[in-house]
Amino acid sequence: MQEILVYFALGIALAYLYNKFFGKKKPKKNCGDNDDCGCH
Amino acid sequence: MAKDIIKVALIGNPNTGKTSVFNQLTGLHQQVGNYPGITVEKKIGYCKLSEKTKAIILDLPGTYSLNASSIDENVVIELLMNKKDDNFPDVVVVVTEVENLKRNLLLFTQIKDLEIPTILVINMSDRMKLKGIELDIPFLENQLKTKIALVSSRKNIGNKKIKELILNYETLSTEPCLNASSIDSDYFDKLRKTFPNQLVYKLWLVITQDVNFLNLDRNEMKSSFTKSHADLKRLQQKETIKRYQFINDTLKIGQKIDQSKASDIRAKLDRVLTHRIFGYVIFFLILFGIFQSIFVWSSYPMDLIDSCFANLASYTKKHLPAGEFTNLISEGIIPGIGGILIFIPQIAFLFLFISILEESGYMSRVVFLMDKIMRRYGLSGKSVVPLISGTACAIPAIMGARNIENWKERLITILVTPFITCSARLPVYAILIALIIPQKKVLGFISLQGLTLMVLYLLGFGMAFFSAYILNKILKISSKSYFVVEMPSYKIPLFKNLAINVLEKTKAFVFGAGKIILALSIILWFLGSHGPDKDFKNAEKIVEQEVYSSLTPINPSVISDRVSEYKLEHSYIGYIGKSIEPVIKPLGYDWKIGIAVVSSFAAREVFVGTLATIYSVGSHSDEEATIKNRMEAEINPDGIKIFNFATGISLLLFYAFAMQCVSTLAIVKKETNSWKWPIIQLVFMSGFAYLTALLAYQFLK
Repeated sequence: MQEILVYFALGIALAYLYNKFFGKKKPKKNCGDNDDCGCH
Repeated sequence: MAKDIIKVALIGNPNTGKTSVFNQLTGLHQQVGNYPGITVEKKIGYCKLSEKTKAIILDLPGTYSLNASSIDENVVIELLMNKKDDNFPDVVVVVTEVENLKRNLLLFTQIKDLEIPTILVINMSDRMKLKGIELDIPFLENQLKTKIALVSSRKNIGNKKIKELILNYETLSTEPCLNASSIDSDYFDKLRKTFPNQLVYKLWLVITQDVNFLNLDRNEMKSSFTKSHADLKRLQQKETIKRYQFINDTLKIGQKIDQSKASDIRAKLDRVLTHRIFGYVIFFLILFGIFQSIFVWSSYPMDLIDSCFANLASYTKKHLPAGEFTNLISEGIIPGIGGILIFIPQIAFLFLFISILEESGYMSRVVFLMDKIMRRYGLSGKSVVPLISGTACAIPAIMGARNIENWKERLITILVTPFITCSARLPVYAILIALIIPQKKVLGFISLQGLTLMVLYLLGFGMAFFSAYILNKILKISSKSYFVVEMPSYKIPLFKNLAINVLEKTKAFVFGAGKIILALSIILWFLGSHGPDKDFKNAEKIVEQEVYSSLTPINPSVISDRVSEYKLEHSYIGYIGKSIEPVIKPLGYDWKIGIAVVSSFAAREVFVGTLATIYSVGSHSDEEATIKNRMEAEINPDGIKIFNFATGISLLLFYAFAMQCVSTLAIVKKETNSWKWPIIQLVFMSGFAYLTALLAYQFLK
């Protein structure tokens, strides 16, 4: 049981670091191709 | 019918007390984040206006005008231009300061041209009497086509009035207070006719600035409307002059200043604090005082945190059921969390002092004072703050470079700050100096060990300035370079502002860098306590066999130490250390030092902790002395001390220059929005560190 918990913690740590450094970021909000951006 | 939720944008020049107004309105109901894709801080707060209505208040970065010169200012313009933005305000609150009303009103008149309901807050009204200032509020309201709240965020006066005005924002006029398009009527008429559905001032901002907020076809606009760069600049200047003429005319009647009452203490203080000799002396004395206080005052809570976590680790080890996970908690997670929290006192004290310097108005004088020196090295006067903060920790220091408008100067500051000796290098320096530098006095009173430590600090600063000079020569980034710094009035800092600032910065450190350090601690613990082959699993048996077959008698108490050492040697991290031995051998390091160097990539201070584990001293009470003794006694196969003068100097130089901090790399990536710069930084710093360490060892051995 203790070993499973260790691997679980390790998995979380690795996933966290992967997500932190290589995870996808939300795209920057701007008008892009959308004509109805509210600026007009 | 009034809305349930009113979106408010708080805008103003830097140093107008905008954040104080924000804090007074929202109290602790604040959320701090970043704008998507960039690293400008986004602060949102909540405030109850009436039983049914709540205000969501967005504290926007300080800006002097709507002509953006930094990413902070871009944020303001992008928001005000995009009605579809989630945070687009129902009402804008422009915060100005009573003593600098003339300059502050420029931004106000520009925002009025965007035809958004706007409230004018005149802050620091408590100083009016002292400065002999009188305001004709009805006249100003009439001229500026707005409602005015006269407030003092320091004395908590006028909050009610602001809330009242926000609640009734729909009654505010959206009419501009002057006709700026009269600077070139033909040109603006043509613009108006071509884009009849657009606000002409928005179009003007699109033409004159490079901000990606509109989906208008910029090429189309360019072909028809773009003038030459020089013509556009001339028009912008005309626009600014026109606005100031209007402001001057308005204030001539609306504001009366009794010059005889206007006290001159500020000018007298400025003369001393920015003096070309005394200014520097005072600044360095203040710095000296701050660092003394940081190290002396922080040591008590740091010791307390350290001992609490040590006790907690041994308590969990004793009381939880024995096993792998218990080991992870007591040897990995608890020391990992402790390793983060132990820096809280230093970070909190540092930010407390920096906040006091900023709030009191002194920091602006320092920035002004240092600009001349910094500019020679491609830095800005504003780089002083990050460089000084770097002596505590590079992470908040790099974050502190955000207020440098010029991108090149900001980038150079970010890239050179990790050379400054941070607090994490101290434990490494302390143990190595104790090992290789004799406890002698120079000239009878200067400690040689202390002198070495000071030389290492100076080396860090010297290298930062040298690198900045080189980067300034090789970086081909063209950006506008000018220096504008506000000289605010001197004030006694508000406790509430200091407390909120310290709390926010400390939270950012603990929850930002802290999570990375914790995750790495778990991984390092795993790599150090697991091995790929049978040698690791059968460590006890192998060591016992070796001990019993050896002819020399061995104290049984040493066996467990030998087992730990053997396990470490055959753990994953041990193999990593051994695999890099050929690379580090020319520097005078063995595989054990190699492990410490690799593991301290997570954070420099891990070096001492790793060596403590490697030299199996965990069970001894006087840990530091034992580490030192063990390190001192360590010999290589040729019988020569491992930690001799040459190796020690080589290690000191390596740690002085190497980018041994993954959290700093993470923050550089975050601040520059690219992997390019942290990778360059890592390669250059580590390469340079390797080279100097190699030369030092080969020359001294």
